[in-house]
Amino acid sequence: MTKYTDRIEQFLDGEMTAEQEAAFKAQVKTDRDLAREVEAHLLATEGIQYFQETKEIKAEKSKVSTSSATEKLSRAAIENQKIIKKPKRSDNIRRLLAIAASFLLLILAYFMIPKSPHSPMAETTTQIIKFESGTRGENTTKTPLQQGIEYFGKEEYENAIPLFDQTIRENPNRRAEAQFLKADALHRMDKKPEAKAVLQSITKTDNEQYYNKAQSILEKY
Amino acid sequence: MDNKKIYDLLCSSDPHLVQIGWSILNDHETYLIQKHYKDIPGDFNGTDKSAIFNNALKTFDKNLKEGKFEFIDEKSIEKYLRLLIDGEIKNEVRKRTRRKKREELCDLLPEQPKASPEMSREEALKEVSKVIGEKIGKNCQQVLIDKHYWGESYQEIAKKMSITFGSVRNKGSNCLNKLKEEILKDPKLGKYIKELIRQAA
Repeated sequence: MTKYTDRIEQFLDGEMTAEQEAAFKAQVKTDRDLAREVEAHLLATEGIQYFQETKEIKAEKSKVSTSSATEKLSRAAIENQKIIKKPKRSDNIRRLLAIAASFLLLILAYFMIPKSPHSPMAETTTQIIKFESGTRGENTTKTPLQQGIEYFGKEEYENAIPLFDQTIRENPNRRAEAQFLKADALHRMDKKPEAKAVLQSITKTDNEQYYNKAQSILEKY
Repeated sequence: MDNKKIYDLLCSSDPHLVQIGWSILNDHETYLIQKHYKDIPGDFNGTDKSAIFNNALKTFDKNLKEGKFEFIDEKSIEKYLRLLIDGEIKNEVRKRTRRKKREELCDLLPEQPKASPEMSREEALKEVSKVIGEKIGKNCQQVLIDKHYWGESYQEIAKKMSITFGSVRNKGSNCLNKLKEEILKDPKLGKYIKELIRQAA
């Protein structure tokens, strides 16, 4: 019933010699059994593709609906939390807790939010700072870049810039990061032409990641 | 390309850092793919190359999550991605060869009826899809999908399934035979094929 499968596959994979191919093609034209099997073969392989595509579309759809269902569940959980009545605390304790929470929020904001929201480099700077503070590990000796970042966090840009310069000179692996932070520090000190010059120097390096970022900032600068 | 930094970012528990890791890898598309330029046929355009790179990244992501990737030295990610890119190129070349050969075969076959009264091609494919789901076992389905959808070679499938090349080739052939027989046995599909052949007479 299906005696030509291997030959058809050999033809489709381009594994036949020119003579074999010519003979096969001639046979397809004249042999009705082979033609019928070729039709079934093509329908089968096309069907496999259709089967898998449909499966992938379904999986994609269910992923979307699962995520929206998860969202709904978490919303419901939040709503439930709102409904659950907690035992009343005394007014003094509640006030103290509110003050403590505000302090915590302020401390978090101090470390997390870039100091100048108007800096076009703020987003990348935050990413660099986050990464650099995460890579310190158990090594307690701070690199000039990390020391510079500390000064940057305290808005002491004059102290931070020499440390970034040192990194630019001495550490080619962190040069682009240091250049970016230096540009941001200069921007925050309102030294925009100098900041622009540093950004331009990033676009002359071969670091693709920061090249693209510097380029897009320069376009709007 | 700082492989260690990228690896640390990708393995981070902070999704934001993971995202940075992927964006760094994305920025290295040209760098990673250029080594394969001589293997990429001339008819592959920029979009094709990007698709190859993205598929390689998807596989890398999957293998990373499944613990199949091991960071050994500072070039580990580059080497691994280049291997995946190489596989993707080969699969795509195979798929294109089959597409071309398929067109050649279609030219030899009778022209498809413009409007079949019984069944359209789309309906026929839906029916085949149903046959695959109901009559073909999961193992067979996997081999057929790897070969005919992803364009993998029997060597690759054999390596993935940890069985011999001969076993996979036999399995692939038997599974395809089984599917074809089921198609020809199916009343609607059998009639559809007969209808196509009748046009040639």
